[in-house]
Amino acid sequence: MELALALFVGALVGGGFYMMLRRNVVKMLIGLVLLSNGANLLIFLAARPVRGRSAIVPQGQTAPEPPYADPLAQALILTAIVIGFGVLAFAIALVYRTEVETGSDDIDDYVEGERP
Amino acid sequence: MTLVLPLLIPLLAAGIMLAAWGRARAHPWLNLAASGAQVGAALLVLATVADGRILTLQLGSWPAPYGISLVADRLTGLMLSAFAIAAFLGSLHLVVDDEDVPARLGFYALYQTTVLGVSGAVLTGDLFNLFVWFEVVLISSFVILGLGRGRAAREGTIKYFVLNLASSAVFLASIGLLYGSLGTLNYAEISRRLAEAGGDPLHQAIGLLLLTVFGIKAAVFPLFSWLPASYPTLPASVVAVFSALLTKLGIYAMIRLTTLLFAAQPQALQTALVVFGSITMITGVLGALAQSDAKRLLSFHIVSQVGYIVVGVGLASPLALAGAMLHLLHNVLAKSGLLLLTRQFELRGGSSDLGRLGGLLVSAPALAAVFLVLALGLAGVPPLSGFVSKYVLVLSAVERDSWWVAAAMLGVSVLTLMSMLKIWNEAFAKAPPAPPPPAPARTWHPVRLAPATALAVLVVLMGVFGQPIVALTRAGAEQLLRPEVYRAAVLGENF
Repeated sequence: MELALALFVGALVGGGFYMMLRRNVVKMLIGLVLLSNGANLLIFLAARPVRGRSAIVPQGQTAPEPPYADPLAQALILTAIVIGFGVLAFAIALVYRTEVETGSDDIDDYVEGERP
Repeated sequence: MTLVLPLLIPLLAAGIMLAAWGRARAHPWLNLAASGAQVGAALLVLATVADGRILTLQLGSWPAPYGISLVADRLTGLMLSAFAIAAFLGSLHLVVDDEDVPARLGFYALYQTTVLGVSGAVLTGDLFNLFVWFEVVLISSFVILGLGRGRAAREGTIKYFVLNLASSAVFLASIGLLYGSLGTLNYAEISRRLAEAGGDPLHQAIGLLLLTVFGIKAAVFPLFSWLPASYPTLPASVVAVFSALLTKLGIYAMIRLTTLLFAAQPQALQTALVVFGSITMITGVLGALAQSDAKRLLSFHIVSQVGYIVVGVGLASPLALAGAMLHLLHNVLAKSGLLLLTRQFELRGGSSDLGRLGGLLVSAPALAAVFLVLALGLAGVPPLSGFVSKYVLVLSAVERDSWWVAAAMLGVSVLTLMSMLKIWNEAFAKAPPAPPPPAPARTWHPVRLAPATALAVLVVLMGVFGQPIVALTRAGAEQLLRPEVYRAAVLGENF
């Protein structure tokens, strides 16, 4: 399973970087989404996912029985998802405003006012 | 409590401003009060750690390394103070000249959340917490940039945004890999486990990834293009504060990376820092020389000066680290002052485009005097602060037999002086162009020069009476090069 996940993370990050390099801003946003999802999944993968054993302490004991899924990694991923979601919302609003004000969705047209 | 104060003040201020959303006219004053209180809190931390103590606070009383620690050593104290002073003078400028910032859209609350983010980032002792604080700063700066006037602001924001977001994703990936390999996120514990693990290539790779991330944040070659693309679209006070806060935060993270986390095997990181820092110095100043707009010229300068500091971090001797910290302090003062002055260019001459300015030596002699002090300070002319920091840096390069680096530092200094002369010639010495520029909307008022003058005075003071500051930075550098002291302070003696 971990090999498949690793290849999938690679595909996401690779695809994300490829899309971020496109001229169209919406494609760039999609690349952003792919990239952040890839990074989140990488945290999950690096913390050695364990199938079906959550970190719950059984009745009458003081610690969960190893091996169990790492809850800290899940907390990290949740935080990162929330941050990424906030940034993405801002990014969509920004891209929309830019497209309205400049009339173009091509990044090469964005030259911060330095027209020759 | 001392450690939490620099976080509570901006947080409360931002909260009050959001609650008093409608009273936009009170926001600049609230901002000023909060920034002033922040200076007090930062100097309190600095005074407490100046004798070498390391303050720690375990959040939620979870013992280290299981919880998040707040840690303050001399570097933290110095950086907190530098950030707070820059933010205070920026807020002072905004009180006397509000530059039409969108106060009704929460601009001042975002100002305070930026200060909150940078303060949290230098106080934290946990790597993922650092990521969170970086994101706080990033999002605040995104929105401030995005609220600017005109399409240039929007375009600049997109460029700033793309590169910084890619760096955040890579940061996240590096944290994940480091956590998976070591099992901890606490600086002291990472430092200890990396020392025990020896030179594992995986760890070296993660270290280089983290260096890349912090390099993007600090605007190091070749990933600095976001800075000259976005900073010139900002109002002058904001770009002055951003230049003092954002890139220096990336440098702080680099310092922690090489002196604390990877203290056991920093050679690859340090070599990369010296090489890329040197290239950054040179490309930054060459880019500056090619510009015809004052703000864009100074933005390229930020990149060049960051190169100096990065080389100092890479050389990593006590003298080099002291020089890096001194240069950081000097830049916070001199660069912010120069950027605040570009507002005067706009007010007096109609724009910051050098081709359309002229004759300011005659029409604004006070402005010329302040500019002269700050520009010579930036170029490193004695007895100003730039000379002190550059002297220490060149000395540290010579001490390590890095002759090319020393030569590059001196050469870039000459080119920096040339670019300052360019601004002087274009804006001050030459006659005003015909037809005369349109009359500015705001009339000139001498008190608007006050914050930049204060910074110029500080530049002079730091140069002439710099010995105590040099001593403090040297002590700070010695402390940085002994990570076992940090580890003992955070983890306790028995770990």
